Amino acid sequence: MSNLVMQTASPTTTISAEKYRQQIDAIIAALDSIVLGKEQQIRLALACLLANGHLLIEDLPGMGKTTLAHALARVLGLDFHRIQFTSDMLPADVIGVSVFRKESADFQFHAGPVFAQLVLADEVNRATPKTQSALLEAMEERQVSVDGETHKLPTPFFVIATQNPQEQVGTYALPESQLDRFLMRIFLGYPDRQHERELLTGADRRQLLDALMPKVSPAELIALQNAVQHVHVSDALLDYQQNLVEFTRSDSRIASGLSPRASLVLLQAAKAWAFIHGHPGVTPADLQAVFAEVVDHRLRFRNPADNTDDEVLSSYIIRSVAIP
Amino acid sequence: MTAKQKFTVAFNNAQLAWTLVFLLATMIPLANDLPLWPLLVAAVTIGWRWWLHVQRRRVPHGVVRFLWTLANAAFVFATFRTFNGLAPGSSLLIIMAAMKLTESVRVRDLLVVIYMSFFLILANFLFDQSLSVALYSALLVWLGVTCFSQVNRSSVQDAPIAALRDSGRLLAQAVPLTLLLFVLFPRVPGPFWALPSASQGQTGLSNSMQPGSISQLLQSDAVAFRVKFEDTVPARQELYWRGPVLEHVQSRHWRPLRHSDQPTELRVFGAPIRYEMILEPHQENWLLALDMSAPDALPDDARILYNGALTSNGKVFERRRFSLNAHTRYMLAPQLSEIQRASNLNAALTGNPRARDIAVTWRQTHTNPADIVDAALEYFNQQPFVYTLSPPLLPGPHTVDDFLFGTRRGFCEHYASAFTLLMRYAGIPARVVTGYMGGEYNPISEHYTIRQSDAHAWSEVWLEERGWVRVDPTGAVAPERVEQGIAAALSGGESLPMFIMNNSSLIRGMRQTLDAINTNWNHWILGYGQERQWEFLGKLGMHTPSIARLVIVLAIVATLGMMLFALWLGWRSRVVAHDPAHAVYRRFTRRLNHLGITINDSEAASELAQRAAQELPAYANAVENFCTLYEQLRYGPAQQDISRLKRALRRIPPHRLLMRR
Repeated sequence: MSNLVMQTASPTTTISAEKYRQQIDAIIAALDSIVLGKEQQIRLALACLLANGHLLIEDLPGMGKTTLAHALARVLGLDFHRIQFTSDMLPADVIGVSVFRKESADFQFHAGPVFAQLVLADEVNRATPKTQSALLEAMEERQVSVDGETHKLPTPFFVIATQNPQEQVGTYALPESQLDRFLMRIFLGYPDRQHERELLTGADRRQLLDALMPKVSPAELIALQNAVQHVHVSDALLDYQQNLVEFTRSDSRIASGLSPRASLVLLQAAKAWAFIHGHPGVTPADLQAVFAEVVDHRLRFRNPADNTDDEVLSSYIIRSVAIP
Repeated sequence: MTAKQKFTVAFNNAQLAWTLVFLLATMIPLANDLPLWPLLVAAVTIGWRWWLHVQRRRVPHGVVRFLWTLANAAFVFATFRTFNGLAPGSSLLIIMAAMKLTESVRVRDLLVVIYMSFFLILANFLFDQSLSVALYSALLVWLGVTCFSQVNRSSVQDAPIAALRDSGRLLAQAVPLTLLLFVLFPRVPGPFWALPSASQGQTGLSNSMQPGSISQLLQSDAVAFRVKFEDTVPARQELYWRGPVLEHVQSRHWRPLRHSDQPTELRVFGAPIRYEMILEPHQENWLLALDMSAPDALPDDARILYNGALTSNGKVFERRRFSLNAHTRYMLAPQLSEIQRASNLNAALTGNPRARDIAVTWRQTHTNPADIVDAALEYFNQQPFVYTLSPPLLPGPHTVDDFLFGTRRGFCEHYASAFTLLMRYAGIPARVVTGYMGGEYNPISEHYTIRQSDAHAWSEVWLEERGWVRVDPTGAVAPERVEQGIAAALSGGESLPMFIMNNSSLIRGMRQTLDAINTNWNHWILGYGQERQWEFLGKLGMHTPSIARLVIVLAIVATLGMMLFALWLGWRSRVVAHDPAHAVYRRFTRRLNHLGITINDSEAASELAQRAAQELPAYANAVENFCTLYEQLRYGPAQQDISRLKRALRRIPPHRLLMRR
């Protein structure tokens, strides 16, 4: 598909399309050099951010979740905060606190670590539900209210949350309503043998990260996000998307179907995926590529035992719905 | 999990529960026909197996199981003295199904138990094919199919209601084909196999009469036969259904004559009464018929005996349906041969002195035999005789004397035999006729239903120039018995079975409805043999059915039906290509399909392109080019010329034979 020419419905020209192409390629190449052997996950994470959504990475400790988040921040030129969640954390530790100042006899707001363009919320499920919800509210509203004062969060604003598998001790599972705030949930998984060897023989990741230069300015990033909005969506694709969504609502094996919001963000993610891959319009393949990551944490089988390794819910849905 | 593994894993609670419930449910109707203990053993084993499962205990050791099974099989043998036959076979099957449970640890073991349970449903039918059993069996099949589908599910089972709903839908889909097979499947004439043991113990008239033989029948509400009159319905007093004629008496036993079937003249007068008889099986040769059957309209295998009784060549093992004509005015045997006269005058030489005396008195006072008959009837009518179903025993040697001058309590068989003997003492040839009297009219099915409780015995005397004349002495004692039926004839306080006593219109209406349903069930379902099948097909326009033609028609209809159904399914799931690009794409996928690529409707074009490129390297370029173009056209923003896509399609060969290698 690489021979396609970038065509969008916006007034952008072929020249700007070519520029986007180069920027995207540069970003992906830089990320690939840091996080080895995770091309698919890197593209998904990038698509998630370009679709202006938050990302949830679920995996065991030490799989490169933090490295990926850090690399994204560096490459996209975003300022970066990492919040390590613990069970004794309070909401103020995330969003900030108002402190009384003697000199001026008033309260001054001390911004918490959430005030950054890219926030890595590490092991978010170790925190108590109260603290979790403080972060998740900030994610949704893109602002923080403390003592009646509203503080806008910077733009762009991304949260990459990482989560340990639920079976681990001392975790508070994110409820379904909170999971819905993440556009995608991805798994990193173990690297394969060859990439692990490169990791072992290559330079220290931290040094490489420090050496990494931003590939786009914040303004360019916003331009990219806008360009994603203008990727063409045909009626044929909307038919397919609606068929998929309707299937989740009508099938007896699925507990409850996708919400309109989920349907909307699914299309956003598909657009971003099409954009990254230079497709002139969103194709069913683009929709299918992001479907699992967008849908699997929002839906569940009515019968938990249906969820086997052979068949996760998203692949069941895709298999069951014909492309019109 | 492979298919093989699926059946070797241990079962879960739901799988076991379904199987146990199904087995238990199939056993319930058999409780009617089998001794209780095999059912009890099975029920206890079922409960015990469940207990073992929930307690997570192991099944007993193989040696224990073997010995326990052997003991049970031996017990079956000891009970029946054979394994051969319906009841022993069914008992053994139940025992074996239960024993299989004791060694069941895997899913496939449960499947064996389910198969055996299906066999038990069939076994029910061998005992009883009535409508209620059929309905229950239909429920059982439903349960069984549900059970089968649930046990076959490897992981978690559906909720019972959902499971039943799914299998119900499956069965409903099978109904049209079932009906088709029922109507068209070739039948062989006659029964496939005889089921003698199943019918044992059924009540019916017997070939002889002795004290008490009819009173047993009177306790039974089993249907003896049903009758439908075509136009004329005779008066109730004329509804005498002739069965065996008993002419030989020895002590108190009446039997038919062993010897001879001398031809006898039978003259009938007037217009015939046409009727249809549906006779329940009674395992004897005789057929019941309204007096007197016309000799010119008999079933093929039937004939009228010298004594007026209708008989068939074979025993009646299954329900028979035939048409008869009857004449209420007839003359049977205007001339009586010497042998017959002797037989019908034959009475024991000794005994019953008082009865002899009174007969001799009548003979001396009346010259005309008909007057003697009247005198005897008057005697029964005037003396304080009582009609009762529970008469005192007559143990003495002179039973007729004891009855006529002592107890004077009895019912038809007492009166008929006493009267007949009196006539013989008086020198008039006389005999006992057994059969049924009356019948209940069912306004719903327009049938008369004659039950075992309508069994009756009366007398015939031979009079010069009149032949054999029917005389019912019971009518002289209790005219209500003849005119209204048994319940009316009995004095108050006498116990009768519920079914006779209950005369409220509601209960009678329910009984009649049920009887009408059963009549239709017997006629249309159970009685749907070759004869009725061919008759039915004749109405549909198939005039010369034969088994070969039936098979052909069945095959054609079934195939056509299936094809139409398949076409409909295809039409329902058709994909309508509104988009010209999509139409070309569908041609493209059809071509790939011809080239050996499996097409999956849910696969995106680019994925298909990748797969096809790998499998058809010679066309990798063409396929990828086509799919790229297609996605541009269909999902891209620009309007492009469809002809480019068509040109791209031309690079893909339409058939395997045209492929480049």
